[in-house]
Order: sequence, then structure tokens, then C-alpha cells
Amino acid sequence: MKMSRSHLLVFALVAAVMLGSYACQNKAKPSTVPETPQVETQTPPPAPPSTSEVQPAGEPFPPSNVDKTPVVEPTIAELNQQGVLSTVYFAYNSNELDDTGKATLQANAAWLKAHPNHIVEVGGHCDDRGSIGYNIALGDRRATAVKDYLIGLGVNGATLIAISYGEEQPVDPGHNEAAWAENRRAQFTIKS
Amino acid sequence: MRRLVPIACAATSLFVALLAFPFPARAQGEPQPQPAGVTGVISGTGFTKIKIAVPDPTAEPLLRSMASEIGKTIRDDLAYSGYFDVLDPILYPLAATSPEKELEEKWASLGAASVVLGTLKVASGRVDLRAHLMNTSPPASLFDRRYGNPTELVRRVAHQVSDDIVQQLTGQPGIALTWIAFVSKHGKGKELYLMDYDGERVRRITTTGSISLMPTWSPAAQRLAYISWRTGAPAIDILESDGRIARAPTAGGTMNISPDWSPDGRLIVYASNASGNAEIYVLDTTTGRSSRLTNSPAIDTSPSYSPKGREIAFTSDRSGSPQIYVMDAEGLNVRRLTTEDVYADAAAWSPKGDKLAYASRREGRFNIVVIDIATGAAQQVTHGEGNNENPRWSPDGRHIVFASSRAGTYDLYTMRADGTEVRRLTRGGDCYTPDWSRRVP
Repeated sequence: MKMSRSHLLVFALVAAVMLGSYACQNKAKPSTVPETPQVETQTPPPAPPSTSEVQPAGEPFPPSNVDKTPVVEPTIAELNQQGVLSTVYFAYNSNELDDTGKATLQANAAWLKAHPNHIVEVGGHCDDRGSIGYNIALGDRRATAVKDYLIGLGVNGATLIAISYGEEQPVDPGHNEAAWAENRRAQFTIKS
Repeated sequence: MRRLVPIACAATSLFVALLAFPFPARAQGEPQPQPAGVTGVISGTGFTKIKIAVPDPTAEPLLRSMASEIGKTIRDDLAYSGYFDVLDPILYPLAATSPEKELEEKWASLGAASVVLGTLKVASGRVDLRAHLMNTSPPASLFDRRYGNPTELVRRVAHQVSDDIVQQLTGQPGIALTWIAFVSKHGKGKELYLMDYDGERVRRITTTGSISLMPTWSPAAQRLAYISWRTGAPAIDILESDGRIARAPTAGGTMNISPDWSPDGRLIVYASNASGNAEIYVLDTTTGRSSRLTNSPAIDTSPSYSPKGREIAFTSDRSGSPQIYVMDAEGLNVRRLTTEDVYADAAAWSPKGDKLAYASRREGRFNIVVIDIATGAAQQVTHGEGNNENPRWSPDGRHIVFASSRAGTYDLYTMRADGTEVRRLTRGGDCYTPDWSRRVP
């Protein structure tokens, strides 16, 4: 996701258009509807009610986009079904590769080097004992550790995409040691 | 696998139905918020609560359910604010039979220092509510105003009356018109949801078909920045109030997360792995340029701007475990704030800037801790009821919203900043990472 000049321009344009549209909306509001309570009606002697009304500020986020687009299913190649690339597991709050993990990655590296045209995602995952925010960064560290190790074994780094999913995609949703151990992992998905 | 239907989803269907049906169906169908925990006096202050009576507005028979919802909403708002002792409505008929001659004296005889009398009408699908706030002794008219809105937004009218009463009688701006954004499970992912500050009117506001997390309000409560996996790697999206979504032009890499807005809404501080591992960056939304604020081989993430924008709190594991640090907005003068915690994350700066709330894990469970920045004195404000995470402050700094698994699955709750008066906002589970809007402009 490399930032480019065109992205910047698009963002700046979008921001400018949005600012403009806010300004227009503000102008378009009927001037007869004050947004703030009327000062002149404060602490009057007992008096008839004022004739104009106070309207709370408008509602953001109209529910216009509800259920219009279908949920996109991720495409999974047949190779993924076969499980040609094995998952590696981590200790609690760690991105260290143990001997089992290294052996798994050596086998994965052999397959990747024999199939150099595939683009492969390395998904970093965490158990749910950590916090949601920190776990995204921890998952990134796990995915990156795996990617770096594979590059060290001669795999072309340009074919590997490290993506963290934090604790968002557990294999086992349970809250016990066995589930946590299953969930602390780097999982391979062949994308193309 | 235990899977409950998220309440947010059920409420969304309800909201859609509401658009098609007139108001009374909604008034009957919507659950009222129930305090889930302790209620009682404000601890630790000498503040005397104002005794106030809020009878339902008078209305024609067909409008009585709406009048009843207005009356109850205002009473709930005032009680929740902490400034008021709202007289039990069961006493109100006594005012009518009081032998006192003057209206104010009749209410004074019940012990009410103030009373709000309303008259409700509906014309052309619009609420027309007159609300008259009076002091009873000595008798004084404080304001007498008319409020209008489409009938489906009648709760907003009631909240506006509440905020006006708070402002009039305490001199402090109210929070009844604020919103809480959060994420909840939807399909295979998590979408953004919005609700009023009291947990009512829950509705889904995104349909990404992906995972979204950690919505954060822009200062003017017009935009939400959040993390989305919709294009693969986690990145920062900005949802505009008209529903459009724009990708923030962050520094690059494959992880851009945890956005927080500067107080002027111009900058977004966030964490990115653009340089190889998680560091704190700041994006200037006017130029699209990001600059890096931290430089350590450790994870630096979860940044939060101080209310004046001069400092940034963040999480780093440079000491070996996640801890809360504070640095200047330019990235200098990094200092560690938490020392007694095994694991700390998700710091949120109080509106006054004197405190941080964060989630601290001790003995396997997360609890919310509020730490005084000047003294370092830390107070644990939740106590061992499930996990309690992702605290965010109300705009008046008197309340904290947070996610808790105390009822089994994660739901959203609020509490006073000292941990008292816990109120459950959602039911049904799978609600996470709330953020409380600032006051509506």
C-alpha cells in the first residue's frame, strides 16, 4: 500500500469536496430554525411560549447503505484446501520461532521455492488474552518474523505478504490453554 | 461455539422498520435502559443534588405514549448526569391535589426545587414540545421554550431539553445529545454501529463485509476514523457522516491502525509498520503527509492525543511488556507512565487532560484503571467482573464507556469515572471498542 502522489491528490480532492458539501449544507439550512436555544427567552417573567422552536442538531450517518452489498467471500485456491503450507505456532506474547516452527518453515520454504510464481499471504494471529489493539501489532510481528525467516531460507520476499489479523480470526473461539495455543499462529494463504 | 445474535443487529432491523411505521410502534418496541449496577450518591464531593420534578408533558390521549417516553427520557438523562435527584413520578399526582394555590408552591410542597412542565403536540409528523423550567421557591420562570423535530427523532428532542436544563441549573453543558460509536459482529466480520449515549437507537452504519475496529470520533463528531481489513491488510478508513468511506493516506507498510484525531481535527495519530515494525506516526490530513514520532525496535501503538494536542499517550513494549508511555506531540520526552501493571494498553485521555484511563491486565483479567498523570496515583475502577477493556471518556469527563465480558460475552457499559453507577448499554454480546462523541456542534 505505497503512498503515491495520485493518492494524495485524490484524498485532498475528496477532503475538499467534503468540506465544500458541509459548507453548502450549512448554508442550505433554513434560517428560521435556530440550532441553539433562544437566549431572549431565558429568565423572563412568566410569559407565553416563544413562537419559534429549538431543533437539536442533525443526524449523521443515514442508514442508506444497509444491506445493499453482499458479504464478500474470500477466494481460496485448491492448494489451500490441500494444506501444502503448514501453520506455525507461537508461545504467549512471543514472536520467537521454536525448533518445530523452524522445521515447518523449512518445509514451507522448499515448496515456495519450487513454486515461485505464487503470491502467499502470511497471516499473523493472536489469542484473545491480550488487548485488541496491541494484538494487531503482535500479529504483525509474528507474520513479519515468519516472512523474514523464509527470506533467510531463500524465498523471494516479493511473493510474501505479511498481514496481521490480531485476535480477530481465532481457529478455536474457546477460552482455554488449548484454544489459545491453536490461535497463536502464522497461517499461510495462497492468494494467486 | 456459543453464538448469540448481537443486539445491535436486531436493533438495526427495528430501526429500519421504524422508518416505515409511525412513532407509537417504536415507543412500545424499544427497550428502556435499565441501570445494571449501583445507583446512589456521588462519592467524594460535597455537591448537593438538585431536587427536580419532571412530569410527563400534557398531551392528547393519542400522544400519551410519546409524552411518556419524553418524560422518562428527560428523567433518565437528569438522573444519569449526577447533578439531579429526580423525584419519583409516583409522587407527581400529589401536586395536583396540593392545597397550595400557586403552581410553584404545589411542586415545592413535594420537595422539588425545580420543575419542568411540558405540553406536547404533533403536527405534520413533527413534534412540537413546549418545556417550561421553573424554580419553586422563590417562584421563578427560568426558561420557556418550544422544541421541534420529526416524530421519529423524539428522543433527540427530549435529550435537548435535558441538556438545556443541565446548562440552566448547573452552568455545565450536558451530554445527553452525544453518541457512542462501536463495532459489533455482523456476518463474518465486524461493522461500525452508532447509538445514543444512553444505549438507545442502535443502528449499523457500515456494510463493508469485513472486519472493522476502534472507531474514533473526529472532534466535531462528523467523522469516524477506524481500522478496516476491507482491502486485505489493516488500514485506516474515514467514514463521513453521509456514509462515504475514504482511505486515509497513511505512511505505507501492511499495517496502519489505531487512529486518533488531534483536537483541531487536522491531524491523525496512528501506528504503522511502514518502517518495518509498529511505530507511531502522525498524518496531516490537509497535506496527506505522515511523519514518524517514535523509533524503537519494540511495538509502539495505541496512540491518544491529549485534549490540547500537546502530548500523546501510547502503548510500548520496549520494557518487555506493554506499558503506557507519554511523549510530546513531536515525539520527544518519552516517559513511562505505568509501573505497577503487568500489561497495559488502550490509554484514553480525560477531557480535562489530568488523567488517563487504560486497560490493565492483572491475574489474567483486564480491568480499567484511571491514573493521575501529575502524581502517578492509579485507581482501579472495575473489579474482577470479567474483562473490562477499551475505556473512553464522556465529553464532560464524568463518565467512562467501556467493553466488558462480565455478563459472558462482550457488551458496552458506562460508569462514573470513579467506577460507581455502572449502566449496561447493550445486551446480547459481541460489542467492542466504543468511543464517545464530543458534544454535537
